[in-house]
Amino acid sequence: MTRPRMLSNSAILAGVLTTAGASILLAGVLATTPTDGLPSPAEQDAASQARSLTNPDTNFESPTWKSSQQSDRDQACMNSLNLRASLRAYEGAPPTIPHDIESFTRTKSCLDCHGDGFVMGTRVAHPMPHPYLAACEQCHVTQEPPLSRADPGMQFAETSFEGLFRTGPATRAWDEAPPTIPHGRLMRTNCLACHGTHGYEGLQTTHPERANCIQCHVGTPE
Amino acid sequence: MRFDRREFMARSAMAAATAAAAGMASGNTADVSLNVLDGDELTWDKAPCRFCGTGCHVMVGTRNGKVEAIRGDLKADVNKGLLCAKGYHVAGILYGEDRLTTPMLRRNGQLEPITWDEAIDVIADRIEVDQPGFAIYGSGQWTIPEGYACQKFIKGGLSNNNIDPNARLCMASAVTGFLATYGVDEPAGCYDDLDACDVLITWGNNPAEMHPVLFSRVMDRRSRGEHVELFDLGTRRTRTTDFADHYLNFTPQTDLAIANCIARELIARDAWDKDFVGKHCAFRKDTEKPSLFGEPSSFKEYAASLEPYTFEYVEEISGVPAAQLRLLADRFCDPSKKITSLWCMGVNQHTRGTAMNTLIHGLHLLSGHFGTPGDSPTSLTGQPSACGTAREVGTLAHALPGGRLVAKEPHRTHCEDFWNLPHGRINPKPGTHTVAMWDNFCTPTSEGGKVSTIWVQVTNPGQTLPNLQKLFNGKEALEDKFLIVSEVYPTATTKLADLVLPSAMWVEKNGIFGNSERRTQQWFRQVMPPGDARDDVWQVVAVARRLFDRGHEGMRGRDGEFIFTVLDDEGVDVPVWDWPHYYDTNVDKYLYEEYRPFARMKHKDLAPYDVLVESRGLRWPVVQQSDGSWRETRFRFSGFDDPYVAHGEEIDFYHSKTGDGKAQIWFRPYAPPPESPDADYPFWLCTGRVLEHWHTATMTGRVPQLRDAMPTAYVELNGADAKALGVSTGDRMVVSTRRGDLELPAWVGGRGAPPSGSIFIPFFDERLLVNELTLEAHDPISKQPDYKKCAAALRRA
Repeated sequence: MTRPRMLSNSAILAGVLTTAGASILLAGVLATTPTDGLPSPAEQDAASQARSLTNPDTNFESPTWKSSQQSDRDQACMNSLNLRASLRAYEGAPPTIPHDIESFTRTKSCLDCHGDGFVMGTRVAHPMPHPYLAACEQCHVTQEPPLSRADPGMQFAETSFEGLFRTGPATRAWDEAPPTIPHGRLMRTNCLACHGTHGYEGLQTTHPERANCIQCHVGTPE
Repeated sequence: MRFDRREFMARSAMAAATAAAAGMASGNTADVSLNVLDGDELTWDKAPCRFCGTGCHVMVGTRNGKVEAIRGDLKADVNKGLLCAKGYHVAGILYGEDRLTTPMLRRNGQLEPITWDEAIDVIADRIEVDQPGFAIYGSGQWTIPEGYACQKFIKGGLSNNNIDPNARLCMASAVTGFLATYGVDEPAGCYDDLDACDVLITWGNNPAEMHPVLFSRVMDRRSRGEHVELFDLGTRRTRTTDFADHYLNFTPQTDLAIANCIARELIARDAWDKDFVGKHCAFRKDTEKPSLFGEPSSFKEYAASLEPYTFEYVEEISGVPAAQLRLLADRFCDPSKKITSLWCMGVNQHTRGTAMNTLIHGLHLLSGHFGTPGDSPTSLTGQPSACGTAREVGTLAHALPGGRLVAKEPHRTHCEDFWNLPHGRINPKPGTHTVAMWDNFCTPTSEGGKVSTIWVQVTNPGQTLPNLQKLFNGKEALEDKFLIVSEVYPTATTKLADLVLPSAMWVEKNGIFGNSERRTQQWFRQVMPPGDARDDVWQVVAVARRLFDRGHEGMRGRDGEFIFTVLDDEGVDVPVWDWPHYYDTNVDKYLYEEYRPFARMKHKDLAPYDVLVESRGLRWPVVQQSDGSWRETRFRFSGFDDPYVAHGEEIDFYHSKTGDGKAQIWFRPYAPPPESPDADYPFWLCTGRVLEHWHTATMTGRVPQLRDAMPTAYVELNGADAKALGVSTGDRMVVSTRRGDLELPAWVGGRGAPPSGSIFIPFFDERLLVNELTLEAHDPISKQPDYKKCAAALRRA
């Protein structure tokens, strides 16, 4: 199983954009513009045609609870999980910010979009998965530093760090049983951040009217 | 099942309404169990973070010999499960592909691989040729056993006292401030004060970037509906200012005048705490030549000395409006408010650093804002073990372990007895402090440059010394000078190294740190170092043993035994100088337990190693109770918590210099800085750090997420100055001082905002060395240089 490469900023942003557009959601991350090391559009088309949940090229294994009607959703889920992983050093790390932040004058302006979540056109700002903490930039750093065009910056050797990729997958006791929670819940207590209206395609809950997620969904047994 | 977005939105709205009605968001309730954590398949163990002096604990997740993930440690008092961007990415520092993995010796200008055996011989040769000229330069990143081993090697083995840490550039003025005030180093309070204060004052300090976890510990109280008022006193707006209720922008160096003004007002309003001061304080003033302990003064003389510091006068020299000064004075005059002061490099890297440290302590003492939770002058440290190692082990040119001094005969005797060395082994003359050591090293031997070899461990002086041209680069032309560097990556320092030794780092070795709040923290090795990299303690012990084997007398104790004899739990002598046997026993535990008794003299009792293993660090004094358990101390000198204060006493400064349990309130006058802007160099230049990088970025620069967030240094300037110069963000600028020039991009309206006439440059970027511009002028008492103010000129490149 290969790990996702670090995507360029434009690829990540494109991925964010597509998550909001239902018509192109199946293409997900794969529909981004070609960048260094990524396949060409033609290759991507072929890849997305050929890609199935059991394709060894995919980064995520087939969820064990998959049923045939859910393959579209599974594909979107995989794309979203790959996008998510590309924003992090390892599962559990605070995600990096795929946009400029220094043009926002105050740290609290993060909340304007990421408080309840926000959609404008094709752009989605996910709500915070954790309770409000006063200093967003304490943990979240940007991928778009302000001076990147003025100076190439310090050049260091590559890293051989390979972060924990993902926990899971979720399991179901039987076909219709509620899936287990396949990931940690530290700093991820607001389930709707990823699984709600402004969450990720393929990860959104089918029953957002139910208020208490952990009534039915429990941790994945070891 | 699929449904469209509109339906989804409708149902979500219903969900929100349901949740609101039930008083909970989906799963976001306090009683949610966090029993599911990421990475169940990994092996998890505790460690303190590798970076700053906050001392957060992380959980380190490893698999197949590699670190794969990090978690904030939920069991840690310091950070309560939270970290900062650096801490979350700390694992990445181990895995830059240019890790140093083999010893290298410079031959014909090139570093060529050699064996460890050869490297140890090279060092032993240098010592045999010029033992008095051999020096060790380390840092507050030494673990306690590492600093202790170097200390014993230099002072007990080589008898020359030439050891100093980069903490001299960082904490020296804090140390002298504590000594001058309380007669003993390190803070009385702790981070619990941050949970209890009503008013937080940051004195030239930007904890939002430099100590983010501590800063958010306070600011998150606001998110919970508590009121905390923040006064930010600075020479530049920072991310901390974004949170401030009051920003007091002062002209560099005038912080002394501001502190004196507040003290004057406390007296003028008759609002000083007469009961507290009468019982627990005495007054002190400078001798003609500044000295650590000065001479006694009186309240009358103190009050008279403060008289000139009126609001009008201080407004004039500091630029802070009198109304703001009055507001700050209001808080100190109000006994019902709990006031915590924070400071770090702005106060310490100051030619009047000792003076300013004592003035902040003095304000808290004079106003009685001292000794109860939330009322505390709290000095922060920049390195993970500046307190634990540099200050407590005393890896300084004038110090011995546990607060002892080389100049004091009884202290030398203590150490010789502890170490079983013949009396007279320890040299009574202090060695060279940092600036003197490097100045000496870069001065030709024929011109009196007596230091011929420096062994650098866990620091990067080629980037961090002030006035680099003089204090570091000067070495290059001197053939008989020899630089040994124990490192993990190529750095600005290894560029001039003659011998490079690859080191194990962080969780590749056992370690013990001591953080800013007196907390001693232990961790175990969790992964193996790469290639031939080895522990710094081993490197020192191996050199000592080589000298011992060659018959060096200094490496023998009274009974002819090797000074680094290490016994295992069964009392068997383990040949730890032989690398394959180094981990046959826990050398860290052995050295720490050997060191532990040293700490008792100053009542800094440390917990036993095995107790530390079971804790997330403990704050000294840690004393054993009648039931056998070990109890830490949160509020030192306070009767309700400190076991060394007699029952019934409110406060006892039991290391008082005056011997009467009293702390000293100093008068220290404002004096102008050594260099101020003038017609040729019209700007103030300040240097400092940024959130993403730790110090010289040798570690954080190799973490893609951190490097990509902050890849280059810059010169930050005020919008009005930028307009006058016709400059916008990204334009190339040349910054010049009397020491050198530096070209770098401009940043206008960025993260920080200097006032007009001031510029700021961070020091992390090894391509853009701002310390080629800074001043080596230093505090006469602490010997700490001033990196925060000098005169600079600015033009387009």
